[in-house]
Amino acid sequence: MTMETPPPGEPGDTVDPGIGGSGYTLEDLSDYLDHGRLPANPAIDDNAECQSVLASIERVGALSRDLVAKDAADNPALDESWFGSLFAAISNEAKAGRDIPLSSPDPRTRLSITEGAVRELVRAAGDGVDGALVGRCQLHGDLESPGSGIRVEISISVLLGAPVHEIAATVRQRVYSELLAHTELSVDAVDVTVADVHVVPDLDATDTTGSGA
Amino acid sequence: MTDDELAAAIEVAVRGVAGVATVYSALPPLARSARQLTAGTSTLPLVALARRDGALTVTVNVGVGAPQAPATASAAALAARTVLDAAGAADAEVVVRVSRVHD
Repeated sequence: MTMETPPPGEPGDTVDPGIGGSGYTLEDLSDYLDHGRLPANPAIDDNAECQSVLASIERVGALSRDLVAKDAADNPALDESWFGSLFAAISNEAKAGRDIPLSSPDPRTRLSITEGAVRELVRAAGDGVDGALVGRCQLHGDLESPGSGIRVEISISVLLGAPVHEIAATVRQRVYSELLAHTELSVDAVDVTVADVHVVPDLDATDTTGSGA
Repeated sequence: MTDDELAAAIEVAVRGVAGVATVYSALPPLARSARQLTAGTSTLPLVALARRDGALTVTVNVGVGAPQAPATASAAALAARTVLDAAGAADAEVVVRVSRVHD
């Protein structure tokens, strides 16, 4: 793969630094994944934000990559614009963001977890629930003050025909458990909104709507 | 011991901590590229050392696995501290940032 040089901008425009400041775009990373991460590129491999985006792409899997590759025309699953929004959200959420403090008994030591790591944690927990696909994840509240209550807001897409309430509840519980294990945040609420439904392409022979006769 | 050697030794120690899945670059990409150019090598340590007014700050970005990020971050800081103590830099500040959680 080659690193794309952003076209020169108009005076006053900023040059896109790429994901995590790496200079690589979402498409570059998708290509890198498609090539089995070979040849190894330290600028990507050593960059946490790039790795976060790669992990998200892998989780969404072949379905999304096909759509991102603009092969979605005959795909009845989630539409391309939804995936466009999804990957825009993934790229945005991968940014390191604020440092969320972790306690340390040693005054010479500062420990933290990045906001981006927490958002990825939330996204991975949600994507790990069968039938759920996380669309957007937002953290509300004062993340940098230990003990301040925060609220997590997640939108998900649910597999058509799957039990919506059960899936939303499972996502909420898993996200809460992951945050409890890996952060010291005081989580007031995990709000899950089912924003969409989707079907799996290889199930298209089955009429799951019940409308066929 | 040069700063790069110290950073490399800390990186090795942190990688050896149970629960640390990987170490990420602590320098922003552009700063890292600039350092690679001036150092004439592409294999700089991923741990960043900064000296300001005689005070040393060591920054380590880690990806951690199970079971709990805070405990792993704390163990990583302790590993870094052990190397710093041996190098005579016991008063250095250690910053450990969890950049990813691998499940």
